[in-house]
Amino acid sequence: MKMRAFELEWTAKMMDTIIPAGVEEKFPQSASETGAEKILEEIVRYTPFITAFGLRATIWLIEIFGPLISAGRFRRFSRLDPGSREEVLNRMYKSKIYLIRQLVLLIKMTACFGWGASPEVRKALGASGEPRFVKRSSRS
Amino acid sequence: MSNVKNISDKVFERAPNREIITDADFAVIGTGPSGATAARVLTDAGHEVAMIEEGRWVKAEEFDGSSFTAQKKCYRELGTVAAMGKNMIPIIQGRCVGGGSVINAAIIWRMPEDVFDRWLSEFQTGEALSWKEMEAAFDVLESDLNVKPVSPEVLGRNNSLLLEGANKLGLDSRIIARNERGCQGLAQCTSGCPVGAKQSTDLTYVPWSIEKGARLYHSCRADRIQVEQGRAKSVIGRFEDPLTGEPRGKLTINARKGIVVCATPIQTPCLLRRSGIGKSSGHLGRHFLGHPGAGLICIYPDEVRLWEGATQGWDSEHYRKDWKVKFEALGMQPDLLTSRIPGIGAEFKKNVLEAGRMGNVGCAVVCQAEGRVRPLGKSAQISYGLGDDDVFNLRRGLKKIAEIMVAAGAEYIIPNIYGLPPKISKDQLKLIDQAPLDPRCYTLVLTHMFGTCRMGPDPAKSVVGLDFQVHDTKGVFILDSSIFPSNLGVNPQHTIMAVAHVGAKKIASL
Repeated sequence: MKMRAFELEWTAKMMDTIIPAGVEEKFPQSASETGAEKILEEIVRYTPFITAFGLRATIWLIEIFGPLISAGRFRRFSRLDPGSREEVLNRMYKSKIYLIRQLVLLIKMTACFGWGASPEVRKALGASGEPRFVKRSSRS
Repeated sequence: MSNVKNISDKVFERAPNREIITDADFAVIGTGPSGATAARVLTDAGHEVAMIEEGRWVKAEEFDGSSFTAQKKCYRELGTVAAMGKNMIPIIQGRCVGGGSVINAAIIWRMPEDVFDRWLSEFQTGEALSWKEMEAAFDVLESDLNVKPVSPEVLGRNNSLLLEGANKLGLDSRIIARNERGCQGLAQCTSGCPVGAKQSTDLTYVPWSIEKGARLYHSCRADRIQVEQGRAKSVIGRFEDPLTGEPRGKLTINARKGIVVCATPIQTPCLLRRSGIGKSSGHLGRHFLGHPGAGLICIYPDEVRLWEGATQGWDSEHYRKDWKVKFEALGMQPDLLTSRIPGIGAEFKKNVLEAGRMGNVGCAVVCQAEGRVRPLGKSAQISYGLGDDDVFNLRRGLKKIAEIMVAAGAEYIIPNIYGLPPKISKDQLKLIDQAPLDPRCYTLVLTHMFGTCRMGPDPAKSVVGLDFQVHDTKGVFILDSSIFPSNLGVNPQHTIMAVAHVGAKKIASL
């Protein structure tokens, strides 16, 4: 199953709400600046139909119904301003309803897989290169 | 793979002329801990063995420390397999040559004797396995796979702090013994060892078997087992690109002496059901057991760097018997770690600033709940959920982990439990006692699985007999942990390999 371009744009906006650009000087990149949304695209492309369908449905549910179920607003997620988007996802993330929490958690996990693996973030954390304490063994 | 010579004529990843029809004494389905061990023992005994593996043979150089890279290359369904019940529990399964041994943390535990005794008394497995045989198998495996405790140079702060904390509380715990040779403390076990230090079966028993004459058909899915007059005759497989599913031809292996299924407690019952085998007892796919777990993150005053040191170098089974929980340290790379750091937006980024000081421990539950596995297209439908007692045990296990962390110097705990604050101070641990007893409030992952083709003497109550052969079909042997009648309470790779070792020896002499 293949995601459409507009679905990828929605995904990027959701991921950038979870991991926005700026905020902390140490980590200026947003999720989409590290290509995190492409991870979701690949998962959708290569997993069995039922999983791929569920993931796409997650994107659609947040885009169409997220603002309504979390803040009672009749607007699509991607058309909200960044502050309102953060409010919507925050409310969903803390929702009393398990399934609603899971929708955001799923997007967050995927976003982190891309963002946390990026060389810039790893470098900022001091996680690039070899562990500092390791003595090189003769085996290479 | 690189240390094995002249094996290219024995390894196949496609059928050049659309179909390969071949024969062997034994066809072994799966090359994870059980399949590779079985292949090794059968080959050593002089039998002609053909191994079939659904995943690809991934080389160490292909691992780059990214979780997603490993998920694409080595995890079943890119790591999206999940058990469904009251909540969704992701299940970590390998799908590559070496199976789970490529993506686990190489933890070695001998089977607890009390669990073995329970198998004898409650499930009457004595004729199949004796403790003496198991001990002999453990000895062989430990020697072959270079099992030894994590060396102090690569232990890492997370593990050493936890050992300190547990000692202060007077708890039994240990530096983990692992199957590795030359570990560099990269904390990348779960995303594939990039230096080939972990002695996973893709680097050991699989190539060693090939060197002695076995053949390997990888990127080949075993579709079904053909049965004629109540006896298994052949395995029908399909070569396909493990990621894209692009077809690459068919495979038929006519097995003269038997078919050994080692495809995991999820795929083994599905393969049998698709083949019409093992259904007569009504227990096929039932009694799915596991060790689901949840993790606790803490924040120390000084740097810990979870992305350095042995991925899992400390564990404790102090409460295994009484509370049915086991604790184990878990290091991780920033991609996995950040996914567990709470918050959205600015709050998330602020919390990530503390990542370098975070420590992490998992609490695995020896669950009493049972589930069920059924085929669903190429996948499986797994119904499973924790019982009330299981959640209670998980909660008190997490509280004890928090106490160990605080004893080790942690200032804050990130419980990742819905209903609790995202971060609690070391003086607020009592809050964990008030966490809801609803599994949906915990972020769970399931790694160890058992039981869907359980072994026993009675064909009405079990799928596999004490000769490791499916009761209702001759020539089909099962040697993976789906035959285990209970869960273990400790990391199962070593027991799985020992049972496969003992079982394969018996099959070889039939």
